[in-house]
Amino acid sequence: MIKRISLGVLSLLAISCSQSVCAKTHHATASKHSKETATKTEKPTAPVLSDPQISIYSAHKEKNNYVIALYTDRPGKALITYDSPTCQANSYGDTVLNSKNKSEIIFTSTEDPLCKVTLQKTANNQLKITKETSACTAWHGDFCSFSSLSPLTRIYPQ
Amino acid sequence: MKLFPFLLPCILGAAIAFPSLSNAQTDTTQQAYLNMITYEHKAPHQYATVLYMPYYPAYGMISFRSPECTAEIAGYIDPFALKNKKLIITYKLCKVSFDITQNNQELSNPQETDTCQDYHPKNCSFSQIPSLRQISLEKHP
Repeated sequence: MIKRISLGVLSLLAISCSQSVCAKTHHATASKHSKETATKTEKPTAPVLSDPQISIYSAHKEKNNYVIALYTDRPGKALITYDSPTCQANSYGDTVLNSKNKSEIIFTSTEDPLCKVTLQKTANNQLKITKETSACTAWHGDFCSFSSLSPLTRIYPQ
Repeated sequence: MKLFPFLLPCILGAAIAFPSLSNAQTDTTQQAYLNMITYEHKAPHQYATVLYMPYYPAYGMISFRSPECTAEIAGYIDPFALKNKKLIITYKLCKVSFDITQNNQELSNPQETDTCQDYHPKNCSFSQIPSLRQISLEKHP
């Protein structure tokens, strides 16, 4: 009887070990595959025009999700989406470069032109929201602000 | 001891199920959600991009650039049209629509209303935008 029990326990151990090994192998294969796919999709393409490529900046912390999409090097349109446990705000509008400081972009909401957000381009392809006007509170509520966001990193183009 | 043959399948089932459950949880937590879908067309001397937020209140933006044409609008997304695989971006009276095709990977067949003429030169229109391919924004900082 003891032999049967010990055999059973041994077989259980063997099955669980082999499965964890299999899972790890599968996970590794999957990550390798996704890495390969990512490498394929990230293959840099030669710029066809010097100026117009869209730039997308994002910050992602746990449940929070902030994304800004815009053209950075010239006046253009921009979208902002901001989603955190306490704040949700989406907006669209126009961007212009500060004539005195070319690394500063000023976003003006189309729906409320009094809502202006100042974005500062920093080193390492980052974007920091430095200030916003009080009118923007209508878009994200009282408990947060665009300017409290952590610096956004450019995710496209990489 | 007589119960052993009956307990064995249960124990084996648990041993099989738990590792896969823990893996599933890891996969879910690793998945990042991004409220922005982006399409792009690149060709020599021609660039077009369309972006939109799939979640309400949703906005979208279209930009089309070539040596002869500069056209951009940003506006609301019609959430009901999205369910029917149509992307419609509305700014004031101007509506631009695209078919969402190829399993969401492509935007094609752009059409605009007459009122959109206010937002681009006469020699071009949003309807001339070639098919756009979705770009991957999977990586996050």
